[in-house]
Amino acid sequence: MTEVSVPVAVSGVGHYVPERVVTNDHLAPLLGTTPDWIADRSGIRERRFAAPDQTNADLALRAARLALDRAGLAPDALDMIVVATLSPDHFFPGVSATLQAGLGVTRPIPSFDLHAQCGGFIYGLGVAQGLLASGRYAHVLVVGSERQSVGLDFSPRGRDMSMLFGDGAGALVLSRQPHDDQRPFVVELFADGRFARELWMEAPGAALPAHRLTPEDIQAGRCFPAMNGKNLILHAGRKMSQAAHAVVDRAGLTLGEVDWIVPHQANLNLLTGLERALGVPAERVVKNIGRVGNTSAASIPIALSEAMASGQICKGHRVLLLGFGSGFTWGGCLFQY
Amino acid sequence: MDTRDVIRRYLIEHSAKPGISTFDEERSLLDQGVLDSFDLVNLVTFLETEFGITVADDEIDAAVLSAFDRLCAFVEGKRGPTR
Repeated sequence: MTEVSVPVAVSGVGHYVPERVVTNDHLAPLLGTTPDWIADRSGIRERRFAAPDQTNADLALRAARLALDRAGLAPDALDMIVVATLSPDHFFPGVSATLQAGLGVTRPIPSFDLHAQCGGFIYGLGVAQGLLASGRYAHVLVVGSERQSVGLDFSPRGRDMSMLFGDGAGALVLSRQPHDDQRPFVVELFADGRFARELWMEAPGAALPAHRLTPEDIQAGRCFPAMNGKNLILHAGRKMSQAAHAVVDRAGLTLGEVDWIVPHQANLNLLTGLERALGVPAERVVKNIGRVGNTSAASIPIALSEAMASGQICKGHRVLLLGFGSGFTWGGCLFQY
Repeated sequence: MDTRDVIRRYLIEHSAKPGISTFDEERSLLDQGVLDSFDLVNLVTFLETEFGITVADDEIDAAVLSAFDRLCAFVEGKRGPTR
């Protein structure tokens, strides 16, 4: 792979999670289980759900404004907007269109949604880096945003999936840097479509006959996410480990030289297992899943933004982001803040 | 040690249940708590390193990896008849 010639770096990160806290105590009776069962299997104690009148784009807008503020940039300084999401407000247009208008961007910059599920944010960074490296753009906004709470099966049938997910958004401004900037920014992206149905949501979709979504689809639960849980954690662990090694190798570093790892917050048991597999201390792995749940494409930028705002991640630190999601899609990004 | 002995010793030494000296080889390793689901990731890494085999992505199957007899048969099949 050709190395990029134009350096890029993170210039601002922000996030937003809705105010409504949904605890395991609230969910457990709906899902036919106990609060401790949920906590034992996921590490999640509570998650945030959007208000009825909050859209995915509303969440994205809050996160994006904060990222722009922290970058010291006005919306019109942006050259492109990429939104990673698996829970868009509509089939079309994408969340990115509403976000662009909401930010008040007056220039006709390219804005689009990127559909790579929980791996989507890393994919967005890869796309942004590639276009910044062309030298044509200076600042790209990459957003991960999800409003998943409206698409979950809150019955015992949906227990294993519906206990996991929350709503929220995270945003990052990636900017072109002077040629003498030596800070690494490395992205590696992977996918293997043979496993597309290990984690998927069948409906609504244009592959379905006639109406995209029928009452029978709803009754059969085809409109809710489904997964092969035990195999999924195996694949996720293996592939996130592979991505970690691929990224640090390409950066010419070792995992011991990385200050922080920010993995997709899929499940606490996966994160602790990942620590073991990578041989890194638990205190170097950012974890917020207990408080916000699994927010899919938004989970990495939310965790990153929180860790930066709290002062854990400081200027000069090397940070490794690791994503994995349906598809399968996975990848990693190493940067120095 | 043969393949079964090596795998058995690994499972006991790396069990999610500390201090065990044996386990029920007829029951799922996950169900009896010998391994948790993420231990399977490290188990695959161990098998690849110890036996010089490669476990392909489409061979990742928790049902096989968590059943002792099926696991041993899988590894022996990968190693070939001469071993």
